[in-house]
Amino acid sequence: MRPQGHLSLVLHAHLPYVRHPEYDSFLEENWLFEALTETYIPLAQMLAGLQADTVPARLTLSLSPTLITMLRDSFLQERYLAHMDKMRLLAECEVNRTKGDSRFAGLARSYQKRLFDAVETFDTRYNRDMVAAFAGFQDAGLLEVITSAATHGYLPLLRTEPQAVRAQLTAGHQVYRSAFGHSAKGVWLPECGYYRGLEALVKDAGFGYFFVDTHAVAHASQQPKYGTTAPLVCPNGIAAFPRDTHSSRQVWSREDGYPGDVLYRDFYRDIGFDLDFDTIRPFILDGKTRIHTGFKYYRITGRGEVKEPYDPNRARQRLASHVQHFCASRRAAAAQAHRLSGPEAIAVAPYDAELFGHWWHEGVQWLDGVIRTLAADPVQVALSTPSDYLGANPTLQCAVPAASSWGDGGYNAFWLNPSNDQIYPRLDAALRAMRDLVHRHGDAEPGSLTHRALCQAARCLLLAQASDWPFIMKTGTSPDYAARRLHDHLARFHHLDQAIRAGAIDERTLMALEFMDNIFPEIDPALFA
Amino acid sequence: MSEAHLPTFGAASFSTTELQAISGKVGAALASANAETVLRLLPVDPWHLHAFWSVAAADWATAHAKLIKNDGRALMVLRFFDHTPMSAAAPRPHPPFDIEVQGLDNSWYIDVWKDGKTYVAELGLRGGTGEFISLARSSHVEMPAASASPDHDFQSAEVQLPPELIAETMAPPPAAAHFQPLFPRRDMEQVFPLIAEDDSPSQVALASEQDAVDCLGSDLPPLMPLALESVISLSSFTLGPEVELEINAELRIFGRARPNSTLNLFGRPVPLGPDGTFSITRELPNGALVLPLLLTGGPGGDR
Repeated sequence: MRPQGHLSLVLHAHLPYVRHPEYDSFLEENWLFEALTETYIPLAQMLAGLQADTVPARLTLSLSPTLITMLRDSFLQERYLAHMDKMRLLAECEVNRTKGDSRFAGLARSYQKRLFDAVETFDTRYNRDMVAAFAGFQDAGLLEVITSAATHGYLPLLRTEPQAVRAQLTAGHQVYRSAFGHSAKGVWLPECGYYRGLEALVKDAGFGYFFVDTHAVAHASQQPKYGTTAPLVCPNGIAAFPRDTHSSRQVWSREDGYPGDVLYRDFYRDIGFDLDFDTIRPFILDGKTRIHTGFKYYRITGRGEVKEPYDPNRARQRLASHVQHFCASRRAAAAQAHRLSGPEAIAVAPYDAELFGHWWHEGVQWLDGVIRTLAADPVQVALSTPSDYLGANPTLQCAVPAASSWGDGGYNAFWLNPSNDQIYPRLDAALRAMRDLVHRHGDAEPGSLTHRALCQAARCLLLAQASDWPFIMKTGTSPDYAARRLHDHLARFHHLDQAIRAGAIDERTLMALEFMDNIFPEIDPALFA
Repeated sequence: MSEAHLPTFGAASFSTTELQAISGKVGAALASANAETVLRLLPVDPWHLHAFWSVAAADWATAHAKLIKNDGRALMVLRFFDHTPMSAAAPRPHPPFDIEVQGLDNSWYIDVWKDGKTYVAELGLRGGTGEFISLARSSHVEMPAASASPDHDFQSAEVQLPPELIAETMAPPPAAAHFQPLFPRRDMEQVFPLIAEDDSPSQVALASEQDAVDCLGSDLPPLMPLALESVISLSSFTLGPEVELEINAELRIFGRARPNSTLNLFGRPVPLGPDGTFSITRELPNGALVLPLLLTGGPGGDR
């Protein structure tokens, strides 16, 4: 039966490559550890629950190539378990510290249980391989896993050298194929960054669809007959799915979004910053730098500094009402967009995966509730992945989307402004040098020092192109780290460039660089030719 | 990670000290001197362009020498050309315009009048008499459209997937029938279980069957929602058509019996839901555990 409409829930999971074997511990590796504990593992647990309950869930999960590589990396897996040992010790301390305090004791115990469950899920159930876990859910029909550009390079600003865009898409797809054993059906363009002509490179890289922000379709080359309730097919035959404004706003909006509800847990109040230094010292970075520990006892409360204790049961009640509100809104929208002919209506709701569980503590439960509620009545709103939808709706309006992104302002300004524009001339110069290197030395014997150095230079260049560095510079969250990473990757590139040209490659140095930046084992330098 | 735990890579191993030393040494490398003159344009948004350029010293000297030969006065400018494709409806393109700039390696932000235009630019020296000596030319750059297209033509087309995806056929959404229904669908109350006072994992390690009985206590819990996020199935059994049973690492026993039958575990009755489902969660005792499970009232008699 033709549903009134489709809802495609899309989670995009991405972290920059934060693997630092050159240090005993490294602050930014915690980004991965926190996301594992609070988002990726809970998502897998949620999917296991849906599977056990025979809920016909269909969810799309984009795993960026950097994240796929880190999740499969045994060195980081070991470090994660060591981190979790420390966190479980902290949990014991917290249970003891809060004993007798009715406001916090139950919460401390629930955190302890959560850590216990996370380790069990990660280590025992999935043998430390969360990528394999998600592949299993894909095979079971609950999930469509796609991927993104190699290091999440912001493609509209890399196009000064088109081979840079080609390399990002092709190397990214290589990582996916290596992990999943088959091609990805679609691609998440980093930050939904699109420019006219990109669809050709997307198709060349072997993807069948991509996502764009709403105005990419609203301002497309021809007026969209179905508004943003249907994807477009580009003249080369691949599909562009627009983001649905309403379902996005209900979750994303700082003012109106669910995650900002006063009853939900506050992200920023954390014992890593609240407890006196001597108490928390054993559990922070190197015993020196205060960090988020995940032990948070207060609710958002309001805009002021004063926060009230978090009450999970009140939050749970609010969560149930937010689930119902979201589902009712989607059903009403589907009823309004329903049409008897032409492509069926679809609302695409893409979110950063790390919003769920990490930033929004209750987010995974919300997602679980939404999926269960909507799956109970697929005639009103069918949960579909983009490829489900294309299978049922192969004929679409043909037009070219407009250049756009989902960043602030809707275009490129977030990644190109006085806080970060110094990146692009440096990347451009390195790209030209790489192209020249490949032209001069591209015929080097595979496995030779020169070829290995070429491959490593390509890795350095891809890592330097990550959209995370201009993003962090703009937000100002840890700009020194972003600047340092950009500098290091480009410096490593220039070192290799000069060593190759001089015919003076030091193998020990090359091996160290290969070990530190061990991503893209199958990289082909010819991508940059 | 201490020096005693060296990360290994193939046959080699590195200490963190050595990796830091190599990283520091390599980190000092600088870009080679620029030998190429380039001009790049990037759209910021529909009304702003960003240009950056780099001029090779030799190119600069050549261009400057040409101007010196004339009157010696020169300004460095970016000259923009409107290359928007012509159409009957489109207004005439703007004439070229110049922006004065400085620096051999620099960047600039430029305002443009209208969205959706296509520009190409040249970086060059403009002499006092208006002559222009070009140093570099950019590629075409198309500014984003900021409003709906006036074009109402509607064409439809078939989605054409890349060949490798055609072989891997699009999977249809799974029907509920694809799963073997074992558990009832949970309601909202079950999806968001209350956090109970005794929600923490017990530290008690059980050693015997009697300990397990003591741990379960005399008041077996009512039909409780499963904490499905931590279910780890170790094994599952089917005891004929009447009972399905799964055992988990935390001794989460759940399943379904025929409604109106009676189920006993360790000699105590297990509460059944109206639909015959049951669930008990306790910590798994150490060692082997015998589950004396008795079903009565089923069509197959006691078992």
